Amino acid sequence: MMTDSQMGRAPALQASDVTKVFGDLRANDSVSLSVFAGEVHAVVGENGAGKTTLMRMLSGELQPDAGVISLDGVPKTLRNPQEAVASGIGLVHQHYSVIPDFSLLDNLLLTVPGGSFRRLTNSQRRQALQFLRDEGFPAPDRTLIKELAVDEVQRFEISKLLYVGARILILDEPTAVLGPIEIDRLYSRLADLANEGKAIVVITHKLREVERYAQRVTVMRGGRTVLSQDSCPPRPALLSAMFGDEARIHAEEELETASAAAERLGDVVLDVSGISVLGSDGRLRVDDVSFTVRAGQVLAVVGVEGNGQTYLMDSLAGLQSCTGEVTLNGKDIAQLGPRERYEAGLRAVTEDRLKWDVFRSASVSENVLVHEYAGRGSLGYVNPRGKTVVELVTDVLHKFDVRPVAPKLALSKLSGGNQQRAVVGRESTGEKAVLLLSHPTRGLDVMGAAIILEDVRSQQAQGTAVVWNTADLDEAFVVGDVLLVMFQGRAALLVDRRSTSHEVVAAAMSGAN
Amino acid sequence: MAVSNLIARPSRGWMIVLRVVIVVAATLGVMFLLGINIFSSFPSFWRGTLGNPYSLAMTLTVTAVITLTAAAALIPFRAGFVNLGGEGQLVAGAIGATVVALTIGDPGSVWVAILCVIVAVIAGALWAGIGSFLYERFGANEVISTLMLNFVAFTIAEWITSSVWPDKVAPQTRPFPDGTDFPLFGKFGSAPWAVLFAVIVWALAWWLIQRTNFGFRIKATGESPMASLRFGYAPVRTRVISVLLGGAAAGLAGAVLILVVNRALVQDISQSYGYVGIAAALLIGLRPALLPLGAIAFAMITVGGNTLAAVAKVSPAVSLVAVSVCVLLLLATRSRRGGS
Repeated sequence: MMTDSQMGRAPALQASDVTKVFGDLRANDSVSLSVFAGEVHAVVGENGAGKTTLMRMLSGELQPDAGVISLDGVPKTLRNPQEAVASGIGLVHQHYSVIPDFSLLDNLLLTVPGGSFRRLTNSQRRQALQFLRDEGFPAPDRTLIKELAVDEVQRFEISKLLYVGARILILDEPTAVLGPIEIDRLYSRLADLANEGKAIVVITHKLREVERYAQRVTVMRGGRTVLSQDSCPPRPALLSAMFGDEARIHAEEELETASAAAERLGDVVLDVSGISVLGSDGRLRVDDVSFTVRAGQVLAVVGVEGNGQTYLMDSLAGLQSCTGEVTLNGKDIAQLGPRERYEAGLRAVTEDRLKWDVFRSASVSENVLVHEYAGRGSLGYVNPRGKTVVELVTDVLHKFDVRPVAPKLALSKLSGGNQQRAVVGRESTGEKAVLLLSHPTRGLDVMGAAIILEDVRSQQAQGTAVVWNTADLDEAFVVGDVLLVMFQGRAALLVDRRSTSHEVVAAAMSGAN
Repeated sequence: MAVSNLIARPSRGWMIVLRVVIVVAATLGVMFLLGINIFSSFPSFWRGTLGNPYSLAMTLTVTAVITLTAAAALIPFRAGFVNLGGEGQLVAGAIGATVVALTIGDPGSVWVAILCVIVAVIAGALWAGIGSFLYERFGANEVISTLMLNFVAFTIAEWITSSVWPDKVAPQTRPFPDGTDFPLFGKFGSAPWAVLFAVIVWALAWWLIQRTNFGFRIKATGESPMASLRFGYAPVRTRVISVLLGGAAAGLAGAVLILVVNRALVQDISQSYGYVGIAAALLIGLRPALLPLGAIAFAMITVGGNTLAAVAKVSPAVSLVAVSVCVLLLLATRSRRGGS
């Protein structure tokens, strides 16, 4: 099945029959991956396919139980991340490993190998400074990380790895927080690096990116590599490799076309008029934004991360104070707390799951029931082990494909994607007027996203007004009837999906108006 | 916040087993280092703890007291409030009971004893309430404030024993009048009353935390005050009530020591039971169902340690040293579980 055009050369990085077992789980089962210098290699697969485990072994964070990792054809044991770095392997995590309050220069110097108590020479500093200037960061000693936009931080992370001599770059879901223009820019940088002879591995589940940018594709499923070939296979072949389950493959196409149900719209349910939010640092984060959402309508809030969407969504949920008017079915809710808004018919999935949505050490069942523990009397008890309660919870877990279906398990035992499904399931179950979803599909694979979209379609049919916040332009066009583009805290564009184009929206997201 | 996040999480079964092993090993280790022959001293250890009715009564009473002070740590800990003030709250309770007993001591009436208990419970809760108020109103670090309030309580107790109702000989108040006590049970004295109080508090703590909506809100507040706020659990109110309940349990422990053991307010009334309670609560991984287990373990160490110290002619502080070593080791075994 492997058509290897680069047979003559040894791969820059190769994993051969690598196995990693956690308890009963074979996270990686005889996985093989070959990455050559000069290519952008996409590794795709659904949640729990074993991508992250493989990457952690390749970057020295985990050691394989069996199998060999080779560099340029020479077997190599990577006992820790430092050894991987010394061998030229650099990993860009989904969560950046930078110190926001340090300058770019200091962040770079932190990564220079050597003891903690070493003293840097002036020439080392000068060299680092010059390196960063050459990389296109104008004043690296006076700019703090926190002053950079997200995509700039990511660019800096890559530069950092290059500075310590990385020739194999592994990026874990690098585009989760980027807008379309930034995504394009990232991949053109990666292509340049590949042309310079670097080997690039991108872990992603965005199929569009795989199709557009990858030279080689490896698909993982259930801890195994099921496909590895030059050039991207056609989408149906890719999907069947990822999911194996022919019956459900059409979900992706449904995801592309399914919003016809939203034709018949009801009355205005959510009316937001001139709201502004001041951040805790005194900066105006949302600046005079107004919109309405009708029953059965989906408003997609879209923008590059950090343009006020989080503040906007949090203030709608009552988690962030704001000025301006917010009415729900004619009732003024602007001054109400989150629980009171819940009672008024508003449900919310927030962006920061760990902070606002879940109690990690409580059981899955208790996390699905959280709203119940506030309502009844203090000394009453909603028993999470009671028969009817367990049935109710199990239904939610099945419907949103949360695995395993184990209501008694501590929530922290579920993977991030499954926690997310449980939270979305909780908020969409039951009667409601408004459903706020902040990045509901983040970290989910295509199937997970399809389940949530399907559910939102049925919510629409029941007349729920939905606000769906995303950084993914394609997703916004699939889900939204109306698009609200946020740029620097302002509503840069508020437009019906059918009367606009990807280009117009992408331009608005980048502030080019 | 870092400290409370570390502490508010209950732990798994095998961690508790590991801790019990650690505590036993640490105790034996301390004894060994002090030159006590652990094997030949076992008979004295047995006699001094469970081997005869008097020592059994003593061990049961101490177990009861530690159960109460462990509850005083456990309930606020689960709400994310690190209450190190069990010691002071116990003393406050003892002072409350003393004031009742010595001012309106009406010989021959069990009602005085009951009133002593009620006042002690309220005094303990109020003393804990000071730390709670400072925390909620001014954001004062509860670890420091509750710890410091212990010394304030000691000082007040000292003033009462030395200046208000001093005894002629011992560093204590004059003895309570007869009749301000509970009916006795032969050789066991009034130890069964202590056990009764402890069992009631144990059952209430378990029921409250594991079987009520409020209990879920306590645990939720301890884990994530922000999410609790969002879901309408009133985290501030929940935390304050938890702290008051904890203080009440410690106050009750003070009443038990006064009415069952000493029959007067003695200067070192608390015997570090407040701190030992924290160790016991950590030992059982903050699981209310296991409260007596943690209490028995530490009661054996304290009572048995005192006996051994007497036999081997070393300082009775040996048991305190053992307990302190245990606390340090218990804190070290609280794993920081990183997010995935």
